[in-house]
Amino acid sequence: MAYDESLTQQAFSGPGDHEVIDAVCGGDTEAFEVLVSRYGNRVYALCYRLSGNEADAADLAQTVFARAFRSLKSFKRDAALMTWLHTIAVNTWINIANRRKKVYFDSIDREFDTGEDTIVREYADPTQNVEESVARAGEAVLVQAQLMKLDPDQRLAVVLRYIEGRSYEEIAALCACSIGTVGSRLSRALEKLKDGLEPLLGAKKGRL
Amino acid sequence: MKCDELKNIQGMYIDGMLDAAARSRVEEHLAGCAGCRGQLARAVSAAGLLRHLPEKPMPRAVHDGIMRAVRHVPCVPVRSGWLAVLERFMMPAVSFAMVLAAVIYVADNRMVLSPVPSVQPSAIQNAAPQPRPGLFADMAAIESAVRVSSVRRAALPAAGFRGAGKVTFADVPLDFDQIVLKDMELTAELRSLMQRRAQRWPELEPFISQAALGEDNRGMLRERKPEMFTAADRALVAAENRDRAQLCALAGPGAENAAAFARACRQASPRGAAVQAEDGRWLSRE
Repeated sequence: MAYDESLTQQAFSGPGDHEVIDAVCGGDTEAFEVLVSRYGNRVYALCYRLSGNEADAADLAQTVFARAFRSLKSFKRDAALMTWLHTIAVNTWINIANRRKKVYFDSIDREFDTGEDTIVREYADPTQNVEESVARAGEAVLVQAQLMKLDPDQRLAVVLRYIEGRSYEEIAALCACSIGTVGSRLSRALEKLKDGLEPLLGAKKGRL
Repeated sequence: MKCDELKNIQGMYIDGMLDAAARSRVEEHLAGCAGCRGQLARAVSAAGLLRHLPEKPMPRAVHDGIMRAVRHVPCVPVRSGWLAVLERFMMPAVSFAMVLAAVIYVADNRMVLSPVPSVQPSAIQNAAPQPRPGLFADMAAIESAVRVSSVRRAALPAAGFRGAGKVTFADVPLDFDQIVLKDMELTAELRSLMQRRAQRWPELEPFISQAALGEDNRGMLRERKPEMFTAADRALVAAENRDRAQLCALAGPGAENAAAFARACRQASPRGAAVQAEDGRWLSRE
């Protein structure tokens, strides 16, 4: 999943991004489809890993491309288009996460504090019977479920770092925080993930 | 270094982001703590699992939804300040601005407006610079002008254009079956607005006729069945509402005019559409 930015242009045949952008900005709306075909999978994968389900990922990806289309003329040509799309995706997702925090993005196993008492949340845990989960839907489902248990800021850091292969500096810029904060979010996230993914770790030890 | 301290920096250690001094303190601790060595190996494995997640290709429906959405969105840079003003006044179409007729039928089909010279269809077709031709003489002139361009023919009814321009909505009777066209100045701005609405209409119409979109009491479309909408559909509705706000503003200022615009939109909606009464209740249009 991690990708090398330098390969972006070489990996695709056909007109370069800048040629396509010129065509779109010149009024050829259909040319935008080249960019959707070229970057759609990566954008969608990021959206899926962040939002955790296909319906929200579809909405997020559509919003990302619609925003990119609207502001394509303001895209600065010295940056890679994928980086720009990433930025739009992350900013859009952060906005949605902030708006829906209490409804959709709450950590599902954190205790609920009523002010007088704490209540343990009683959600059905799809990972309760780990062997069965793995057998039924594969380890990707388990990993995604554990990702969704992370706080949104930790999930964003982990997805950008270990799935998208972004540097600490890039993550800090995208999340508007310090490199130290990125480090501590990743550390806390790994601490939770290694507990949640314990059944898989024995078999995968040393795979990096 | 204590074990808990290592937990807080394990990410940076794994990723080689610690400075030399911190790294050597970690390694010193690891050399003497088998528990932390095991934990760190598990953290490395967890990161490895993330790196090897399978690809998640974009479904075709999402791809198509994106293209459907962008076909209705202008690709424009964000402009503000003097650039926006410059761009607006440099628009060549502004110089082609012309007046389209406006005729109001009252109940007895009597023309309200006085006879005026007509515009030659060819002039509109070629979009050549025109002096303001004034108002059309009669319905035949209007129809011939409208027939000239299929785009314009589609634009006029679909724009829901039952009034905007010199005569405010508040001035006219609200039985819109009686109103064919109203006095309006077909500026470049208004023309592109109408074309946008016309292009959008085929996509919006199913939502309106199924009451998934309702006409609210402010002249805007509002979601009534959110489960039927994708992000692309929502972008379409938002664009439509922006154009409606602009259309309302073109018709003239004032709350009374805005209220009349809202009534006009509701009255223009098809049978079965959801419409919002003044008191906020939602009704089905008979």
